[in-house]
Amino acid sequence: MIRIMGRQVRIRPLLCSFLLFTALCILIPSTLERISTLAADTRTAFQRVRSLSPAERKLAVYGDRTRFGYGYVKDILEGIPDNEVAPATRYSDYGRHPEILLSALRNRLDNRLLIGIGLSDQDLAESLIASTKQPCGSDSLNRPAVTGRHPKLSLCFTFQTDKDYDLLTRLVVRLERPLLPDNLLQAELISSPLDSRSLGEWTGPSRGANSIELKLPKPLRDFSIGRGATDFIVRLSTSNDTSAEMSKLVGLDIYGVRVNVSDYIILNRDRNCFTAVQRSFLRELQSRNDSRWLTYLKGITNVRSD
Amino acid sequence: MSEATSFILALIPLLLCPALVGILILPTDIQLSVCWWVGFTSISLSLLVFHGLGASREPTFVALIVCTAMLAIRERHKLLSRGKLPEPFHRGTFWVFLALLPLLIASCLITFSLPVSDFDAINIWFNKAKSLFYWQPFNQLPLCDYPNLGPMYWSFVMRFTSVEFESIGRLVFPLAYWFWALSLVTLLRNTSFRVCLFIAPLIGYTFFRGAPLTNGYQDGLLALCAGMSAIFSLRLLFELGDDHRADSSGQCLRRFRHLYMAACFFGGVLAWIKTEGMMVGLILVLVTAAVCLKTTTRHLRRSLVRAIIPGLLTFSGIALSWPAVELVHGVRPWVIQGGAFEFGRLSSVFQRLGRLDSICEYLRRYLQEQKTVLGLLFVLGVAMLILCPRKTLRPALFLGAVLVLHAAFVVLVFLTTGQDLAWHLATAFDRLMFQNTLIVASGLTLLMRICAEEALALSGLRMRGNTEVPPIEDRQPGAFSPGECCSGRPIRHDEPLAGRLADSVAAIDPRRCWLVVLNLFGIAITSDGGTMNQKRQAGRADDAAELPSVPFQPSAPLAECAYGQSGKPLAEGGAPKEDRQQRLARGTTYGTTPLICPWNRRIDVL
Repeated sequence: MIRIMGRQVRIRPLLCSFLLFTALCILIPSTLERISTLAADTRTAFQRVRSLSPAERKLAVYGDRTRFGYGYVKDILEGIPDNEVAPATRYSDYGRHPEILLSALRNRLDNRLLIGIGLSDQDLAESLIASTKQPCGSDSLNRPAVTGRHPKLSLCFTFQTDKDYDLLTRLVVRLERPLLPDNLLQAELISSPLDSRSLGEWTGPSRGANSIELKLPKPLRDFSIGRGATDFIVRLSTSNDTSAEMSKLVGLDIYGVRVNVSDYIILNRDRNCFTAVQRSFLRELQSRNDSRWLTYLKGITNVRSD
Repeated sequence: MSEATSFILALIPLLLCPALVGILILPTDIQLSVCWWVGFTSISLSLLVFHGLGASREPTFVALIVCTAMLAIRERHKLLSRGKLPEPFHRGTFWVFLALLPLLIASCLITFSLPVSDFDAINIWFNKAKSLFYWQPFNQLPLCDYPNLGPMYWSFVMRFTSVEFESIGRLVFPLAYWFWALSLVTLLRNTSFRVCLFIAPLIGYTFFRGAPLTNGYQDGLLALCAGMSAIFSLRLLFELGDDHRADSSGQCLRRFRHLYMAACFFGGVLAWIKTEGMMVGLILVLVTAAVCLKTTTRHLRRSLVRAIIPGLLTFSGIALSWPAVELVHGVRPWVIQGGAFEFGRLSSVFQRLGRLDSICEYLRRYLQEQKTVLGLLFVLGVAMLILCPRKTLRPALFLGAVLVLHAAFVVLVFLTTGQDLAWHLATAFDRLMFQNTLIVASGLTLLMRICAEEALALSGLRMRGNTEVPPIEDRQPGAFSPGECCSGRPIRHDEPLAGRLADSVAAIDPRRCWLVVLNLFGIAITSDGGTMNQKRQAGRADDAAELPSVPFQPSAPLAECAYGQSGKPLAEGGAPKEDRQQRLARGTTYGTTPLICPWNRRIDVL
């Protein structure tokens, strides 16, 4: 007990009251803030429920011809002869699975049909994937998985694709000065800093003043699908293994194709969406005269093709 | 089927089924929110076990219905006794229920209005729910090495509606939050219902996070289940008596065992919600046991060890059955997230200490964001440790250890991850740390309760179990005494609250303004509106409604239980009429907080 202003006061309850009061003073503003946010969200939710049907709400969230392309995928899959297949779907950025959003269970992924959402013609042609200027730091160079494979002098460049790419078509090495004429440039693509698998190796003559193009004889397929932010490593070396030659390599450009439709025939186009069928599958259908599939494909076709 | 019809049908799996199963499984005096939680987890676990064992869909549901029906017939008296007086109408819980009702309506409306939209929520969790709806074999589930409890119940609700209305199935998550918030009353039991009414809704609204509880991610459910486990752990630690109060009848130990088992049950369920749940559960369960054993004397420790073992067995049984199911289906439990984590990588932790900089940056940002709540918890914990160490020591130790170990676990996760660290930190750190949020909330609730109990002495208003109000004649002249406003006029507890506040305001002595403010505050949050006192004056203590189911035994430890159950009429200030000699004979003195002694309370399990 303490004596305050002539009265004896029990100190502990007093302190506890003060503590509780302080705690509530701290908590109540955040509670009120939370309640106001909740009230605003509830108002929006109520308006949404009142004004939109469940199907419209889904379209609003998943997009008709954008985002998931829910409306387009639903339209295209209506009447498909096989109720279990989920056509391959490609987007301008990364992969999504619109088939999950549909009521029916479609868990058999089928590449014979390809649906593209939000893709322009540029996405179907070769484009620059990434451009890297600085060789990567010591972290990647010191990894035994990388260095152990190549004891000789080399430079490593890392890059991320961010988006999905079907094909890797070519690498362009930028030079500070031209390499010696008899020199050969070698490039190796390594899966990731934690996975030393080699995805491809290319060698090219050192012709070119400012850059050397290493065109791949055959594009690398399924190059970067669902990788997220995982680094690729490109390891560059020259046959003339000197540091002077290596110092001329100053950058790297990587080219590829986002969505490879070379094996497909586009049957349907609607704004930035398309549906394509695999050539071999179409031939197979025509050869066995599968009327169900052919009728279905005819039903969705709105693009004149040869 | 229209949306409205689906919604009405969904009330069966959302409310009726879990509540029914919980009521049938648990004793009759358990709070309904706890029953709902036990029912919800039990139904999910049963379905998961059947599914994991490869049972086909129809026999599983038939078996479940038959088991429930048999249980209902056997335990019909529980349903009948519940029918007489629903639990929400007991002990002020009703008011908490009412106060939290807007939260339920708002969160359900938000959930209902939006289809599942986040990337992983669709690709993993809704995909799982949909696959489980179609009862796909275990190996064909998407990411079958991820646990499935949330998606299983989601699919269970969709079974009553359809996949088309998946948002109705997702209502189970905000509903689980609401029942968790209601379960906070468990921590506030035996305290003034106005304290309950103040603290539980405050915590309920403050800790509600929209997105994690409505978007289909399972981190919210994990946090909720961890919160449920923490509620029982904290209650157990709060009520754990000292060794010299060891009861001869073993009722206390039985109660301890049941509370610990409840904590372990929810701790074990965590392993079925998310992979990291196993570790969170392990931390909760082991820390509870360690704090119990560390803070009791050797005599009681031996008894506690015996009481802890069933809980640990429950935890192990539930938690380890998930990896067992994985092994049955040829999935390696030690390879997590497609090789992103492997136990073998733990050995290389010291080579990756360079990552600590990035991780600590995120940790610092998290602490910065949570500074209000964590700071409050820390300050309140330390202050109450100083002011009231006996009540606070164990809960504070528990909270400190759990939060530190959980943070250490999160750091370890990022030290060992095989994913790109920057990406992984950006996408997962906040979600992982969120999992301790409701443990913090439960801890804060308990600390505020202790604080409120102590503060009550200032306003002079009793709480249940607190009758230590000295009669006026025993006080020193001029002392500011509990039960009086600053003018010295006794506060009449049968007056309406507004009247008492007015009295207090009218009696303001300018020299003691600061006391008046605190006094008013104390009255406002702790008075019971006169209801308790009217009951007392009618010759029965307020707690008569909660009389122990075991006969009242005025043994030595029982005598210390300040319940006002002596049968004597209570004084106006709320204290039983007994003179100083009697009080001295009881061994209590003024100014000491009555010890909360679980030995003497009603023997309700949870």
